[in-house]
Amino acid sequence: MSLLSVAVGGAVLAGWTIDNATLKSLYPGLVTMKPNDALGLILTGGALWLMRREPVPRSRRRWGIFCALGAGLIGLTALSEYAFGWDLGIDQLLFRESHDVIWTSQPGRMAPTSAVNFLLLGTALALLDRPRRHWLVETLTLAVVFVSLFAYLAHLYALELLHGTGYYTHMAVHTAVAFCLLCAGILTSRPDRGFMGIVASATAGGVMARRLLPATILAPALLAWLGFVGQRFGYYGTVFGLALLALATIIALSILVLWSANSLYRVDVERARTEAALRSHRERLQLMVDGAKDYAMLMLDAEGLVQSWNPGAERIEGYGEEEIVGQHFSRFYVREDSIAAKPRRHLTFAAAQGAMEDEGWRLRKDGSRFWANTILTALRDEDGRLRGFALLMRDMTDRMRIEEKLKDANAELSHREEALRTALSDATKTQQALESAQLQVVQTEKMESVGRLAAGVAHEVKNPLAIIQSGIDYLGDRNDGDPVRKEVLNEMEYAVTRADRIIGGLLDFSMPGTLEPTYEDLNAVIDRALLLVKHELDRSRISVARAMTPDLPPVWIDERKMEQVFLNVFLNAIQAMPHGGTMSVKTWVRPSAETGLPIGSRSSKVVRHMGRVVVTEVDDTGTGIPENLLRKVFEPFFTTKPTKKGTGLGLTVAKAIVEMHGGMISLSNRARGGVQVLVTLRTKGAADDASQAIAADR
Amino acid sequence: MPRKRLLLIDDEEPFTRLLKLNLEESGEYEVRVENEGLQAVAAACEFEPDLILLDVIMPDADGGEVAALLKTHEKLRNVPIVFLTAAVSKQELSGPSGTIGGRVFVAKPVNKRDLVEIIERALGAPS
Repeated sequence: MSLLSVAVGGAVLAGWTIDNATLKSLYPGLVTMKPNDALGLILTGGALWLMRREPVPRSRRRWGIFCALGAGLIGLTALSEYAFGWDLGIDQLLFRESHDVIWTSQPGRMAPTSAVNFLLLGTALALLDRPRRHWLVETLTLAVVFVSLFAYLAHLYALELLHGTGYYTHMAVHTAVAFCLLCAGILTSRPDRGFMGIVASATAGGVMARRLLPATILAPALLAWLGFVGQRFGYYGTVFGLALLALATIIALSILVLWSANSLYRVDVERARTEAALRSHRERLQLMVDGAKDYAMLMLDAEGLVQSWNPGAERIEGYGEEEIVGQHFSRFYVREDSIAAKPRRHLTFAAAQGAMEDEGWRLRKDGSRFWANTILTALRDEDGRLRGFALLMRDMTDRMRIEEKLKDANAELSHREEALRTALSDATKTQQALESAQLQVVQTEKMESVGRLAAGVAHEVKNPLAIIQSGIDYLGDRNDGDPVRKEVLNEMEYAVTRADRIIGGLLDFSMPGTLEPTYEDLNAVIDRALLLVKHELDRSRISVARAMTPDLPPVWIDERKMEQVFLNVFLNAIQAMPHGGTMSVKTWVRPSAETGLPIGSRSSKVVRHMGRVVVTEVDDTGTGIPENLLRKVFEPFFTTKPTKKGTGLGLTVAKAIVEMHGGMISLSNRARGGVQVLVTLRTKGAADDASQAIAADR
Repeated sequence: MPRKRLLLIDDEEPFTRLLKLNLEESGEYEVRVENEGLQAVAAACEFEPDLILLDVIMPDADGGEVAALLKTHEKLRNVPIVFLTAAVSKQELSGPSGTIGGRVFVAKPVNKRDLVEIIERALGAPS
């Protein structure tokens, strides 16, 4: 609109420049638009364009106000010329106009109505960017509208009466139209303010205004024009014409009123229905709020002052509604939280984030504390402005205490569970110890019974053996040289010797006795044991591979018992190779730290020594021992030999004797078949340490 | 050369019978057998042996007691005693015979060859 107005002004100035009557007055015979009118329109149009939309930047506003004041000054100057009969020389300043133009009192001087309009419009535009003066802007603009409308209607009806006496210049048609466009532009540039705010609103008032205003303006103008046309063509006289105009106006206005009334009625009915629904909803909400005894529901204003209070809040906090409404909600906070500015921070946070939730101690009226869950929700209006806060508070003290008790109970439970676990572990250990002890007792009892048995057997069997041996001697003395008989007697004597040895082993096993150790050369002891089994080796066609390290350090042993050990080991190897093979015997020295030998008796503790040990390795090329039976080989009466071939005590006795010496014996299957037995014994220095350890142990 | 007199005290009759036969076979020994420990003292006094072979475990008397009784008699005091018993093993003695507490023990069963050697050694040694 502003640009249209500028365009109209520009076109008219162009018309003046080229002296074009159409551009100056639209139609020959009509009053011209004066150059100052055109200039004023350009200024006002420019001012409106600069300030057409909010917010207006400072430079634009400055230029806008400058243009507006310029237009106002043009109007004021023209008015003063009319009022005081002056000729300030501005009328013909831009272009000269002849004196014979119609409806012009002074050539080139704008109509007084145009002058008034420019003064009013200039003022209105200068105030356009001041919201508090908007009522004035609207009033001035409407005044311009009415003045322009009057000028336009005057042209329309072409009434001499309305055109004045000829003393004043008349407003040109396009000037009037341009004024109207400018006014429309000004009013719509701030559609949310003043009565334009109402007209543009979705309210019933807005709807009615938008509907009635055009009709109110157009209907009387149109009816008056029709009446005027009828009169000019002589259809009726002035009185009849006036009566007709009055009647038509009454009818038109009545229709408008009834139409609007109908619309208002419907809006009102709808509103009443909505209000009823709203009331019902509000009542239900109120009932809910009042009924929520466990929840404190409060409305706070934007500053945190209590606006409303429900019975739940009264029950929880202890304040009556009359004593708390208007108070700041920070009084619910405990002192330390208030000092820490927690209430303010909560409001700020809720305002920024929309809501906030907190759990903490709160204060009752009587000063007692309670553990509360608080939800603070910011409430905003349609424009996003903060209206206040809804505060929902619940007393969680009981739950918190229950949770604490639960936590304690859980901790106690965990503690007890741990204790139970420990007890169970202890019980398991005790049970294992008991089982071990029981096994020990059983073993001991077994050994004792074996001991008793062995002693009895030794005596009872050896006497018959002695008789048989005497019988063999007797028969041998009387042999007549029969080689078969001699062979039989030899076999019998060998059987007696073997039985005697078995019994000897039984006695050794059951009564290992005490050690009588001396320093011995282990190689010599092994050789003596080999000599004892020479007969068995030959019989079984077993070769012996000796690989003894010469000059072994002396070992601290009971040589007779150690001889027994090797005897048993050798017999074991021999019996593993019934169809011949090779038995290798090796000895060597190595540091004892590798071995970790237990010292002293069978149950003595393990002590590591830095001395050296002598290792004896006895390998056979027999069938070996099934892996699952390996750990049993040292148990009493365990044997893999056929019945009557072994006592099951040989290795048990050997182990007992070796351990009494603080040594170690182990048995394993060789990778290439057969069994390997390792006997590890202390050398002189290590044995001294062991003896001291044994002495200390005792 | 007079035969050496040996007194064999043992409750095992078959053993004593066979041992007597074996020892007397060579003609070097005269063996008298006594199967009851308590009667052996009287028999010894009467027989006056050069050496006594004494069992240790007998139904009526312990070998040790019998030896103590024998030593109470003047003429028997210097007679060597060899304990011939099933109560010890060759392993304990480290051979067919051995000394325990100053006394000579022979472990049953023992062959004639070893026994004769032990007897001869005992007869040769001062008791």
